[in-house]
Amino acid sequence: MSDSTRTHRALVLCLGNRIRRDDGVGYRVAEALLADPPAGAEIRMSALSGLYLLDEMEGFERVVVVDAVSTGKRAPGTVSAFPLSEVRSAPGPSPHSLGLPSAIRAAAALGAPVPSRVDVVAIEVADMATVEVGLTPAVAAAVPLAAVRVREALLDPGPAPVLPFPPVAPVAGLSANRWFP
Amino acid sequence: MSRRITIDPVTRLEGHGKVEVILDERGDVAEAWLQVPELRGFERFCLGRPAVEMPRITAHVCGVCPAAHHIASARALDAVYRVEPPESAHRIRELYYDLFLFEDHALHFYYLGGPDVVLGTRAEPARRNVFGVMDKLGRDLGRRVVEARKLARDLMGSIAGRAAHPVFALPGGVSRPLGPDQVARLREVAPKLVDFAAFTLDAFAGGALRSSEYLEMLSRPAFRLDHHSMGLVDAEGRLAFYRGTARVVDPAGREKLRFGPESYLEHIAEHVEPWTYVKFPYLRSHGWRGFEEGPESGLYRVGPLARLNAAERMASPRAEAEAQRMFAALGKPAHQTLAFHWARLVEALQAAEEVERLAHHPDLLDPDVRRLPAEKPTEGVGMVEAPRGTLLHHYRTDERGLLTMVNLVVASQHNAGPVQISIRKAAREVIHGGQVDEGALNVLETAFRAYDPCNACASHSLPGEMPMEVTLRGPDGEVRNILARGT
Repeated sequence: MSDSTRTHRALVLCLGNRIRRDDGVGYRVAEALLADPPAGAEIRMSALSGLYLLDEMEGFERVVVVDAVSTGKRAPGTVSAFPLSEVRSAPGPSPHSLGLPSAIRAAAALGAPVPSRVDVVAIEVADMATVEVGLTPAVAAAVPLAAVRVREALLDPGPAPVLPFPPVAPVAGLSANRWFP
Repeated sequence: MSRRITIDPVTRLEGHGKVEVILDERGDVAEAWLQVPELRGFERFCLGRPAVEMPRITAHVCGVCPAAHHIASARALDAVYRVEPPESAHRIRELYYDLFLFEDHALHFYYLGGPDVVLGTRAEPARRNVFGVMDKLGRDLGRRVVEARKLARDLMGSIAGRAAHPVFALPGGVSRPLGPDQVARLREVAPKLVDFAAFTLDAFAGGALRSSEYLEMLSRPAFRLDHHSMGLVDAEGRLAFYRGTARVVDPAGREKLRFGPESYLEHIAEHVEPWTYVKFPYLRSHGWRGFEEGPESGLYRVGPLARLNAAERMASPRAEAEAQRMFAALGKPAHQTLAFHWARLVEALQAAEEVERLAHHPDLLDPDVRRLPAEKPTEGVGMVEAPRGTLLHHYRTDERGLLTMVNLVVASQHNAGPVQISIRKAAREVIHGGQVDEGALNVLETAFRAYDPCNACASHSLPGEMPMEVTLRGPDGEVRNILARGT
């Protein structure tokens, strides 16, 4: 979709792979939200990976990312909501949304536009390995709560840091240390 | 001598970038393996479905190169239905595909190329000389990258229906012809893409050639593998992305094989190892000789560097000049794994030049873009060059067109054997006396990421950002240490 037609300031970006069982939960959350769309927000589904998501986020000031995660530390169906700046490498949330912090840092380092606020709503999954369409029961039961968390995140006012440290100046020299938190 | 370790198959399904290192009594590396997740069950999922759904299904399950799967799938269907698309359809598919390669290569270089080329390990943090010219442009550069990619992706979207998840390729052609507005836009945009690709290449190559540190890093043993190279070429031996025959050259550059998609099984076999579900392709002509490099080994590499090695020349003039500049610095064939960034930029330039050439084709507005299948479907193979390397889609159907067999060979599978050797070499270089530090982790990651591995079929996680986890085991298999980024 061309961003010249963009009319919303907020994007809800629901990630997933529909044919890998619980990895499709993001799509189900999108469907739940589309049944009663939050005002001022666009809902999108994508199977794309981190770097390509920068394209999807282009032109939006704030983004809520919905994603399946597999930390192994929480019961399947647990819904967590947090700013993207809190996402860290393992141990922590799975690699799914992990790429976004680095992708956004990369974009910021190059002086490219990035959203001023990115929140994550993550649903702990039971099975993402099986090639099959359909969620496991605990994850399916979590969809309504996840949708609520998205609506709450959208209503939360004001900017929040997207990067865990002060804004990155345009590249003066690409230090490898920036890229590996 | 370390004992054989049996690794429980169940644990293999996890394993984004998991490296297992077996130490000997001195704490040096006896063996190192990369565990690779495999998308098992995908074939089962596809069986019984109409083959004509595959271009959409495969584009939707790949978070990394949906466009490549979409096109490879369409080529496979052309073969399954034994229908030859009109040239006008090939042109449209090829335009879309060249745009995709341009923007994908540009994306990866600018967002990943920097850190991948710069080790920043035990020595000083950055080899900034390489990017000296880019440093100066700073603020401006980010905007140019965003703009160039946006131009390309908007055009892709207008051709394919959706930039990210194309829906336009069908057996026998494409769903609709180009309109005059699109052609005008293509002609307006193409020179900008060429300029951008040429500018990037100039900045990179110029900086790289002035940096002795970069050249030294290029030739580090851990990052050099002498293998056969495979890539598609057209009838004149020029590098091809969309349509051609596979050409394989040996480590010295001598042609060994040429084959079309329909006969890939005659030339490529797969080897099974007990510790992973991933199968390792190798050249039948050489047989399986283990995880070894050199001309006797049947292992081969795919991807930008391998493609440039395997082609006799590039298909477009400025890209050919740049390829010659690269080979003058590195030798042809080039085996320095980290040179793939450079090769990728040369390819981006060819992709842009080809968009410009095709944009001026006199028959670009031809409305006849589909030939309807007239034969009953049977079996077929589509073969294209995805950004990371050769991609094969092989389908067999019943006479109603329902799938009875699906085999996908993605780039990372061709490279699966060489990746193991690279990991082993890198591990041996940086792990001694059982010690692994953050710098060593960087080296392992760089070796691994140099292949730009695509494990995204396993999930939609970010490519190139594999949080590597290194498990160090003693000679008896007991875990000594687990290192992961951020711990």
